[in-house]
Amino acid sequence: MTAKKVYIRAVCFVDAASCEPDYKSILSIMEARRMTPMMKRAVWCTEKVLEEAGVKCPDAILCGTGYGCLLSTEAFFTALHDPDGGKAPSPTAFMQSTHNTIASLLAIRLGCHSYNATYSHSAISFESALLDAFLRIQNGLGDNALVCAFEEMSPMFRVLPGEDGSETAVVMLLSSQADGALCELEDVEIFRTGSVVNIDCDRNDGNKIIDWKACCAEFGSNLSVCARAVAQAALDRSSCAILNDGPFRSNSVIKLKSICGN
Amino acid sequence: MSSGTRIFVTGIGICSALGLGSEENLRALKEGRSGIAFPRLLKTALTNLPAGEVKFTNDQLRQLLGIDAGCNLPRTSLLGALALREAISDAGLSAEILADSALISGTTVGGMDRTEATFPRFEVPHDCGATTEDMADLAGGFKIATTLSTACSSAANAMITGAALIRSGRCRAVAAGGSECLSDYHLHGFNSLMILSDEPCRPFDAHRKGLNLGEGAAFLILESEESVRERGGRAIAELCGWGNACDAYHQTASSPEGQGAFLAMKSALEMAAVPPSAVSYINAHGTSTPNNDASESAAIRRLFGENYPLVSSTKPFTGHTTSASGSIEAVYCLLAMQHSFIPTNLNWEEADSACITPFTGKSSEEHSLEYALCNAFGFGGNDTSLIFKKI
Repeated sequence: MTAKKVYIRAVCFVDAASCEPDYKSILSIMEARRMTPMMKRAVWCTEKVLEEAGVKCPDAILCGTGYGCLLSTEAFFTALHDPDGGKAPSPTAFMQSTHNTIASLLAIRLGCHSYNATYSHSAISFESALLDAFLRIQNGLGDNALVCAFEEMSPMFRVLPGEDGSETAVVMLLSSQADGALCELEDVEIFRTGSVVNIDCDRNDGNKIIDWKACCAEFGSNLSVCARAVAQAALDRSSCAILNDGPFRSNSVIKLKSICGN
Repeated sequence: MSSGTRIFVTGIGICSALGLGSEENLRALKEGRSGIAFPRLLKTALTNLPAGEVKFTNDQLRQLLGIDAGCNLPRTSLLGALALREAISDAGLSAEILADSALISGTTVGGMDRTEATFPRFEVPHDCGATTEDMADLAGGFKIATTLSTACSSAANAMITGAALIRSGRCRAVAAGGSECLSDYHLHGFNSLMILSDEPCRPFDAHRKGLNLGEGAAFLILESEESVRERGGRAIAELCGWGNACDAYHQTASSPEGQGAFLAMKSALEMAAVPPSAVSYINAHGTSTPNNDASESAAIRRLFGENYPLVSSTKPFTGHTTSASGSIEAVYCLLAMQHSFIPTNLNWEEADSACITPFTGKSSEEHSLEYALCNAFGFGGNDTSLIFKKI
């Protein structure tokens, strides 16, 4: 069986440069009260992406996050270390501090029993989720996959030590259908720094290479910044390689191919 | 490599409350000896809650690994590195193959113990991925590393990702599994959800009160059929089916009918292309919470009927090792297959009509297992089932 081609069908994001959406249009006051800002952003972006693609329940839900839900982690931590012992640690904060809480929330809201996984591996968390989705569609394990990346900050836990961090939520739908797609996802590679891997993005073929520094300069520093860069490149419909060559023990390269003129 | 490439297990490594290595774990399983006791190593106020600690301090673990005493790696990294070292050596992987391999680990707690030690300061990040990179650094090799974090099914999902990577031809072998240390954070977290028992856990029993947490790590070496043949390796079992489904019901509770569990087991059976009757043993997720055991039992009954296979939960031996449970219990399935026995479901006394009746016989009974199914279910309804076939 030949591998199927994989396309990015729709993208949506909320980040430092965006206005916070008006969640009242999709969430009741009760629902909104129980959610952290990151959960609301993920839900918002997912609804927009699925609406645009006309998909009700994706064939897979994949999330990537480097540090996970830091606000809930800090809330639980602070209660636990309260010197007066006055605050009982909240089960909601604990539950919402696990990395898979977003992917689970999306599945519950969509009533979607399909393949569901969350990756948390520093700056290649999104890329790992994207690779999983890419391989599934290539091999015919579903026609589409929702891929989500998110990072948040808390006062105590800085997102990237020594740097000004930023927050991001990015959701995209991958599809095996070229019709209506923004671009083709040609390849995703993750590799450990120093391992001998052929980073096959020829700097002479005229394609743009967006490296880690460029991603951070344009979209702010966080472990999922490459997800934001992929979303932008997809909207720009350009061929490019997003090269995560940042100071991490694993790096990645994502190759997008324009389908304009096809 | 094609999408149908067979995936073989060629090595296993484990550490848990039952001891370090397959031999010690096998002996305790066969003797019916639990590793659960009140915590002695974990710094916590909750000393009244039994737990399955790995009975070695971090200093002792560092000594076993031969690393510098000043090297403050998270306990998750240390436990994982020990299990990984055993798995690589058991499979007999050469440095050349290791360099062409991937390490896929599952964890949720990650380096929380280090964060606790420095709180409220937050120094070098000890996130989930850092623990996987630590293990890869200590083992050497590994061109690819990544980390699944789907709560208590993380290690089982690591095996699914590992199998997909092998089938894609991106690497020759994969070390897949998970590692999780106990932390004050998640002990309090589970306590806040009121699902911990102050007695040794008793899965599927009418009077079960909740779970005991545990810690540990296990890795399986997965290889394509072609790789095993080419290097003259020895396959222990075939990973012939897997299923991942989301219960999509509640963030911390399972649906009464066990929909996620049912779908995960069903798709694993479909991939293995065997009828339910072919399965001779189910290592249940069986946490001993009233909710999990009833939900999992409902799913087993829906799929297998009243003549369900022999089922046991090994959590009364190890405690619930959360993210590592999927690989620790997969290793128990493989040991059971290799040594033709079924681990007993310790502490079970009285049947609950909402639950299956687990296997409580002796490990001296001979049981030949051809197919074993291993369940790992996580918060958020992240449900995963794996099926192993004896070679």
